[in-house]
Amino acid sequence: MSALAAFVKKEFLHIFRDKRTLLIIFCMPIALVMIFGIVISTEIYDAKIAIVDASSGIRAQQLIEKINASNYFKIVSHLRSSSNLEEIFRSQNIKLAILIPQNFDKDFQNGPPPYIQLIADASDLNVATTLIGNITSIVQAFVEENSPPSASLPPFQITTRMYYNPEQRDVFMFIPGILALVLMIVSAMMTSITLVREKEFGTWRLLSSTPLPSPIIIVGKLIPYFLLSAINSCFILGLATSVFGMPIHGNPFELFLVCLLFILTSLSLGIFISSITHTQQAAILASMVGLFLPTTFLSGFIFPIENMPAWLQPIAQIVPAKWFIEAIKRMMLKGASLQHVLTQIYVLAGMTVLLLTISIRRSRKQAT
Amino acid sequence: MRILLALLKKEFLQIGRNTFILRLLLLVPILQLCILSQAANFEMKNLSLIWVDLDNSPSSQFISKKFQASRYFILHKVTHSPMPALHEMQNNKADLIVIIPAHFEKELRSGQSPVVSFVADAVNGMKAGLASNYAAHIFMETAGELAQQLRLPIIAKNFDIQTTYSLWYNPILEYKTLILPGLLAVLVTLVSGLLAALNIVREKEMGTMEQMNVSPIAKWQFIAAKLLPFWLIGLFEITLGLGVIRWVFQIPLLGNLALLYAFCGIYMALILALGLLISNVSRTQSQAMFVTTFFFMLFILTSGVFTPVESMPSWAQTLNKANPIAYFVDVSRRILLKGASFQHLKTSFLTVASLASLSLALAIWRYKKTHADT
Repeated sequence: MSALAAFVKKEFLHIFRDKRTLLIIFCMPIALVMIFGIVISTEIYDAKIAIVDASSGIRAQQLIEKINASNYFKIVSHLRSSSNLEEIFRSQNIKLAILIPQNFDKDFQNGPPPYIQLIADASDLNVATTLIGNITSIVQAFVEENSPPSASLPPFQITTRMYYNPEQRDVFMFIPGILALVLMIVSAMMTSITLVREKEFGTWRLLSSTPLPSPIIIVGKLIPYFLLSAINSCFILGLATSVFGMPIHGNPFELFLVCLLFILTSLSLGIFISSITHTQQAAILASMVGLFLPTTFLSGFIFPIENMPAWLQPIAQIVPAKWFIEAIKRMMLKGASLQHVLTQIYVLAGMTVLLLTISIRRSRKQAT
Repeated sequence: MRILLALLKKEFLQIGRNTFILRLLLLVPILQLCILSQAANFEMKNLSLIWVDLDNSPSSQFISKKFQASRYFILHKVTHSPMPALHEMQNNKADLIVIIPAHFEKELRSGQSPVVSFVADAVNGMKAGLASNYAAHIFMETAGELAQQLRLPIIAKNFDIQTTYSLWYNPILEYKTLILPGLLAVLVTLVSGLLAALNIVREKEMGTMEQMNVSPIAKWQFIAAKLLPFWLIGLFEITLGLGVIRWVFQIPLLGNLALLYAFCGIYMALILALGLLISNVSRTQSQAMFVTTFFFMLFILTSGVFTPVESMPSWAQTLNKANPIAYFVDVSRRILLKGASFQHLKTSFLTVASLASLSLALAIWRYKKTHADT
């Protein structure tokens, strides 16, 4: 036991000597939480637009002023005709053009309902849809201001309740994913690299010639990363609750247990990668491609799995982070207890056992 | 020049011998473009709906049919009390619950404006917002038809402005068109930047750097020999990726490809210089990997690949002026999707070129043959 303790101490010394990596391990969650909490949002303000006003009437002017007054849009170009609109789209990089026809004012007084035409740069389809929605609501408000009050009620009213996240904060959806990503990077990527490093430098031979049995050596190598990840998960959860006011409706202790289970899964992934690679470069690239990208894209972290095509959804099921994120979201936001997320727990535990078995088999084969 | 050629030969031999990495370089861009572009989709569909009908009238059923016909919703269940529906939502089985109140039709007939409730699972706030908007839209559309069926007096709107819209630059109206150039940028940057950073640190870590330092190789020769192979690999990856975009996804490449390659050439120089800088200040490969991943991840997330740059706060947009990936994403989209010419992209070209020469100069200056300080 004391041999193991000495070994763990040696590993810790290795880790603490590398101040820069240590700094990044703890800066990464902060940066990610800040980016997802503050920088990335789906609201668009001050979008650059062009107005093509062929009518130059008073009503059209009022509408333009109303659009300009909202902080959603910034009019960068004011035209009389749409002849060189395409050029404006390219050179000024505007996102939307609003075309007001010649008889807008006339139709406004009497005649068929006036219309306006929107041309959106749909190379970013989401931006286009959002901007069209914003313009439509401004136009609606303009219509209501300028139409005589009507006595009739709408046929029915709609009330909407947003459960579990009443303010629809995007960051609540991202925090579990950030947690998964950081734990994955620290436990899986780092362990795979340190283990392969010993192989690459030949120091693994030295270690195996010590009286410590090789499972103990691996455990000794993993304990520091296990502890670091455990601290890191508390740190991220602390950030989420204190800075962004994310609730933990479930039992925090149970939540922590699930985090520990996921750390174990990540560590076994790290061991697995180290068993199939021989150089640090290969291990890094394999973790990049096999862990980092799937955890970001296929786990439901940023992009909902239901939106993916049918053939891709089964692939998403084998990404460990998918199960972890699901469990965390339900425990934090929906107040689920361990019994409610048993499926997720079983899947993660099963993956851990499977990965460990395969890696042990592989390393035995290599040893003989 | 001979020294440089010999060094280049050595580098290529070393890269070529590592079959694992070579295979990775060939397969990764194709696989990732195909898989990630399918995964990276914000377009909401297949929203799971639970219909709680407390009225059970022809009117409520009429609206429910409209929901079933819509392409956004999948009717998961119809219940007649709200509790089981909420329970299903707790278990992630429902995105939206629509509750039709009792006496819905009666109140509708008497003009009392009954209140329909939506309950959305807002764990994903954006999805919840869209789901309730879609649902409200379906209700409003149905209102007129329902009024006709029930022979209610149709409430005529006195006045309206109609808006029509057309969407440019994305003729097939798919998110993929947008995400592919962005993903290509991410892949190329991540792979070649990381490889360049790792390669030099590896020499340090293995101790072969000492041998390089005592040899009569000039600083610039060493650096050129290290960076040139990855520069070529990067351009090769871009070609591969463009091929996938053109032939697998059938997306027309509108713009001037020569212009795109010119930009990629400058951009790759910038990324490799950054990789070199990182390798200069790192002692081990794992350190280099962490620093690279950290910075590139920040660059990628704020580059506008996945979320529009316009929606970021203005200080972040200002910071983004120094984000190489943001330039690449923007330029590649503008060239490939809009067919922009050099005139339109002059500022981006100049900025990236100056960033590249700045970081190259910095990297060469920082690289010392006597690296006692690192």
